[in-house]
Amino acid sequence: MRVMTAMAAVAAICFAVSTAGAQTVPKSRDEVAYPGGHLPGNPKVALVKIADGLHDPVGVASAFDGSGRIFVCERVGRVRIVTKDGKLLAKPFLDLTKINPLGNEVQTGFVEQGLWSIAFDPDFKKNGYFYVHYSSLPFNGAGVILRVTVDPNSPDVVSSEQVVKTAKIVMLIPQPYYNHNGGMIQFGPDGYLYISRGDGGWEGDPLNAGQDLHVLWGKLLRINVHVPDDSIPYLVPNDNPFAQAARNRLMFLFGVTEEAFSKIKMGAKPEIWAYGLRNPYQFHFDKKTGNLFIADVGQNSWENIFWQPHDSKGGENYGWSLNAGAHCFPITGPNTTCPQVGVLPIANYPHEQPYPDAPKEKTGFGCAVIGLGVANYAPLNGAYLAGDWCSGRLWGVGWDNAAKKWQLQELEQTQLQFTAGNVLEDGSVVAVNCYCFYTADQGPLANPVGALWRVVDASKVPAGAEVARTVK
Amino acid sequence: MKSNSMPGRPLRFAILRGSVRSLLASAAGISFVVLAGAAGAPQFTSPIDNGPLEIKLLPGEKITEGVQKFYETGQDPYKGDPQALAEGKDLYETYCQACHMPDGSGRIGPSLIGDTHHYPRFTTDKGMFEIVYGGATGAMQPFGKRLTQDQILHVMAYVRSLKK
Repeated sequence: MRVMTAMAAVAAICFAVSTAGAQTVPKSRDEVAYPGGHLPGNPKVALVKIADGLHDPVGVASAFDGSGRIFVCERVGRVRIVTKDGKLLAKPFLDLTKINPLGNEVQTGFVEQGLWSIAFDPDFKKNGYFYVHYSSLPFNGAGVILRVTVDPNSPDVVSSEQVVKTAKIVMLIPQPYYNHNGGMIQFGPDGYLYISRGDGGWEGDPLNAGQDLHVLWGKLLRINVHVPDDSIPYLVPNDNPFAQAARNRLMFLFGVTEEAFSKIKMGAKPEIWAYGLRNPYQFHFDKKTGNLFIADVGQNSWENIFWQPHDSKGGENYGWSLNAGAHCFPITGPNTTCPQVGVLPIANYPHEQPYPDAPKEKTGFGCAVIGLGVANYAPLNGAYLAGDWCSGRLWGVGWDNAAKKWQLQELEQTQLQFTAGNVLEDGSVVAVNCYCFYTADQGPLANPVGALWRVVDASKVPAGAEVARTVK
Repeated sequence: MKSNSMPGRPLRFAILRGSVRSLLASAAGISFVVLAGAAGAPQFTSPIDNGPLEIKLLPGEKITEGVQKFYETGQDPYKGDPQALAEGKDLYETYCQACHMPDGSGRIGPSLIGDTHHYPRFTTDKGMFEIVYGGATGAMQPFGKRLTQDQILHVMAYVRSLKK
């Protein structure tokens, strides 16, 4: 028996190594993963309900403070705590609907607006800092990144007085339209705060924001919030890809190579880490490897998942709106051709009709990719999980070391409208779902309440647990 | 308990009220079981896994005559009723047209007026009720969480009227 156990352990180690081999960014369109693939081991998973009673939950995070608390963002402007045993605390951890006597601090007029995300400082246990990202009503829908300090005497409820007393606006990003705000904030393994911002909205990127280095829209941003003096909102890391290129400088016409000229980006926003994104609502670092996954919501044709290795220097251009991932923008038919700009996604899946008048896809389609996180546990072993807002599909993206390529597998199709996900301090991936509308939005408190779910091994569903309904 | 068989659509019911009281109402053809729960609702099943669909009343919801008739016959009693269609249209414009378009031709959600359907049960009133009440996948949310069963029957009647 011991021998068998040992052999199983060795096999498990070998399997883990084989799935974690030399991942690479696709160099050509035919290396991009499409639906129909299989992750190593063909994993079977289930979504188990942790808690419900959440109004339009659109963000979730752990404080990584040993408490096991799960913090869920409700779109209206509240953060709720779900305890490690699944109890939803009645009193919100944070309530931005009450801090301003003139009304809610948060703009929620459109379903893409609201309180999107919360992230806890890497040193939260010592400094009590956490950060939220929301669309601001007083600032006409601008994206605000606010730092608030928890009173150690009230760890589960930050009072309105405490919010007002400790609030520091780290960043304020004007927003031209009411959609494509992006929204997630996360600390990277380097301790810097990463912020995803959509292309500013409308459709088709009318401002050409994705490719414009002079605006913060359509980007993944990277800033240093650990400043020596709070009169400074934040610092730009010196090694940001455009931190040096953005500097103004004396003009030299001679003695400079064309290559050197091409790297001068005077006036570029130095906060930019990556660009050419459309609406990267969720992104996640692999806590084991430091690699980064970005789930970028597409327009009418394809949903994309991008990947950066842990040693990326930043500056990746993901092509929007010159391309839609591995496809053309605009895509006008089955044989539309165009040059490929920038870095390809590792995986993509189509809408029901990936080009105008296309035959309708029978399976494997969706409309809005919502990244959930990297599952570093069996049977997923490092796969990145994503859900689709429209189709309820749960996807797994992983590197297949045997085939030397990325695989995209539909793990199941659920009844859930996925809105966000994250990795908890116990390593498990959780997701939240709403029962909300897109253009027929009923308001952030008018919809039936959503829930919080954990992705588990299908063979290890706890007895009595409620499991998300899936297509059989 | 009435058992109204619609012309050409004879139904068979088994009624289980409270514990084990059952009643078989006759005729050949389609059959389904009627359970206790919400005043004798038939046994509905989910369109995505065919598992049982529990019918719960919303706070303050009452079983209307129309719903009761639907339970008994499996037919939407509001089809073709001009006043009901007007109410159904109002609900459709509020909750459905964003995905299915004003004419039912579909966009984010599938067409409601075509000849083929993702869920074949859509062609029966009972099946359409199951899809709307219990939801399907993703954005086709369970409208039983926000609309009364009577409202759902009104919407269904309007949807049926869209197919010309």
